Amino acid sequence: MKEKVHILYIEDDTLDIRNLEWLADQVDHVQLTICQSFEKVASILSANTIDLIITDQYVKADHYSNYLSHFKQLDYIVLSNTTDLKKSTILYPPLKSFKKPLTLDVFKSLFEANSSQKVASKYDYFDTITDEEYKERLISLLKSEFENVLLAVPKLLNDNNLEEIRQIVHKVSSKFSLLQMKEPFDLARNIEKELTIDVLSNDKIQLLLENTETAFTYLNSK
Amino acid sequence: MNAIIIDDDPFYVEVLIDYCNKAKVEVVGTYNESMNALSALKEKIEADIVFLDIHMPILNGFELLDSLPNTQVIITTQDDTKAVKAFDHNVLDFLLKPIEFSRFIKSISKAESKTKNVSSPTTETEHIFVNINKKLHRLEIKEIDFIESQGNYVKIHLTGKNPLMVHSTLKSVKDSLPISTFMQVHRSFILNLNKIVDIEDNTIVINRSVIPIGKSYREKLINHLKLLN
Repeated sequence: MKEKVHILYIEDDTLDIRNLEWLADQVDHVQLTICQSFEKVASILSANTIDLIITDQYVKADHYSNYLSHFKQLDYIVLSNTTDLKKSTILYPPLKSFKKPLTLDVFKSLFEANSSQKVASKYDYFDTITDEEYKERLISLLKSEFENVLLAVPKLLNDNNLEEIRQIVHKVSSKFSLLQMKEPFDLARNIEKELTIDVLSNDKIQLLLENTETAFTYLNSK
Repeated sequence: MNAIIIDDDPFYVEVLIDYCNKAKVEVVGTYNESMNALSALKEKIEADIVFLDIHMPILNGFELLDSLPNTQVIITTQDDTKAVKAFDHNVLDFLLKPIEFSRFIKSISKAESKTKNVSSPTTETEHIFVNINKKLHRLEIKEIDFIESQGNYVKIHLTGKNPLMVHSTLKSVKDSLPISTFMQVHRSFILNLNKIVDIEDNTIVINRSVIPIGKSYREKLINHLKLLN
């Protein structure tokens, strides 16, 4: 796909529209056009260069499959409130289908499927801060949080205190994101998700601790 | 403009304070615990914006949202799966951690334009529109007796007419109504102050309906009625 992706979103639910507007706002190269009925699709496609169509399965009680001829053979994605998506013609099937609400991870994956993962930590965020005192304070808070993870999690593991571990992992995940440590960030999100259903993988926790140690050491060297 | 920050993560409290300073937004309070923030907002602090984290112990951000006074809320979280739920609670914006300053500024601009619209000297709303079965119905404000929260719906009780069921939240309806006439008196009830027949102990009578007064709402209601005297 080219640099700027122009999406046509066909949806009549205000809340879902607001959600997609928010998602589009999080991705720099996305342009969004909203259409609230299938009847208007053809005229919008004639007047604009659209790269991708995202449509609700039903808009104003009409099923999208009745309007496929309006889609001009463009790639399209179907969103549905249920997992049992009513099948459309096999000749022109959707690229993908997702259950609502569309989340940021899924939305980004539409554009970043082939991007390479960042593993090493970076310092970009702090490099943008010119106030040295403030920068010191933030780094000190981060170090203290990483230190707390390293000290508290093994104890909480012994106590089998999964809720407390989940809260710690939840907090630290965004710090990995801040340091652009993508794999540890994904790992933390995965652990947190599993902990919400009381599943704990010791191997994953150990790996998370190793990543935390790496981040802590890295910050100490600065 | 001023703001309060509710977040149990000291790192993001620091970041938000710094961003607010840069954006010339005065931070009038920071809270690492929801209950303290709620008490402060109900009793003494008035804020144009509340920066609210979702994942907090005891009372999470969504639980806190429904109890907040009429304030613009910007959610700050690392959980991208909660955006729809947040917008359903009628929040102003949803900022993902780690928060970028450029995105923060966008939120502040939204808040500023909304504040300007609210504070501009316009005549008070005389009607609202409600969405029932995908049709917008015009409702005269003076016809509303009170509004009752019922799960994912609100029941709007009208003078001399059948009540209407609308798919909405109490907070969302509250935001559309004039604050000089309507007041929340219980976590599940908003009422038209002009329709009160009498108040006795912990109940209010409107027409023939008896509405409970929530403990935390009572003082504000009594103070407001005194002002009317």
